[in-house]
Amino acid sequence: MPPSIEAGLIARAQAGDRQAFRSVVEHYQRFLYAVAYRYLGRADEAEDAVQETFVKLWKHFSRYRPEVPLSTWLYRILVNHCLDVGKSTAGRAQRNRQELSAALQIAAVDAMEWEHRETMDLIMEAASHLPDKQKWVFVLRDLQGLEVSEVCAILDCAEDQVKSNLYHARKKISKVLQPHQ
Amino acid sequence: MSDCPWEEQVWLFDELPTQQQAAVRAHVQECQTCGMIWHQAEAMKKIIRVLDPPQPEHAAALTHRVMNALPAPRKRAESWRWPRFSAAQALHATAVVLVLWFVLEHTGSTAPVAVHPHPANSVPLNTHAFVKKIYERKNKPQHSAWYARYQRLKKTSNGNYAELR
Repeated sequence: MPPSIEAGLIARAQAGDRQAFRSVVEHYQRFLYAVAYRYLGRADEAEDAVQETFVKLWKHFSRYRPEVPLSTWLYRILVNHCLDVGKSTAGRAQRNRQELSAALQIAAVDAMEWEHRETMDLIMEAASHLPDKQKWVFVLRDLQGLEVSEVCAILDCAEDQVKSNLYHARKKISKVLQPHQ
Repeated sequence: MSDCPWEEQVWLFDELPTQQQAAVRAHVQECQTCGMIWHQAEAMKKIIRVLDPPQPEHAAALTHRVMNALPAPRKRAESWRWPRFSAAQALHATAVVLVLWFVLEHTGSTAPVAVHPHPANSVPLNTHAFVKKIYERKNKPQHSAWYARYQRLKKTSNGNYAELR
């Protein structure tokens, strides 16, 4: 879970203070980008998703209640946006993987870096074949490191459901990684 | 495909309470299948742990782009607008106005309403007064006092009414 920021800053941003909102953007941007990139697989789409998430937050900030952590609120907006994007660009995922692999082969200079990037590529390739729910649970819990309770709040589902999806996702991902271990 | 009922718990080891984790560890030592699954799960966690989270290439540029994408704040109109009232507020105001009007109408208002000094004795409410009024009207002299005087003078003068002045 990203570290929380000052409640007063959130309140000022909620009231329409653009400087305060900029601070909120700078604080949460990288966490949202990481999740968006891991789900969508492309840097430009991840940046678009992050931008749309913050724009939606700005427009509907009046609905936000401090009882829910702002990070959970932001992740929820991002998940909904990525699901909409994913539905419209399903066929692009396969081409993205191939482009990424080609780009990595050219760009990689360090063996360790290459190994990490290849592994990340493999994980993302495996995750792209998962159903949406399993993919989100895997990205949020295992890749992003969020707690199960927060994943439940973001995806609005019960803990049992999250754990069940996590079990299936881990099993499938591990099967893909096994020959490379 | 493993048939061991502990398989799911091995995969979800990190999500289990501490007591359950101890039980799973003990089982993994005894069950060969679960032992293999345990190693696979641990290897996957190790791989994921060393991966750096993806970061935007130009974070400052992304922030700038986000801020530019925000809608401009709406300017509030300078002209006066009708205040908005809820239905409850409008009903309350109407009730207050009606009560005030009623009170003013019936307590010392200057409206030209005839007030009878003795309402109980008025003709519409009192049968005796009603009958008396009819009798008086019937027995009332046909002519007024001026007319009677005129008739008297006519008899005594020759049409010259200068004496009357």
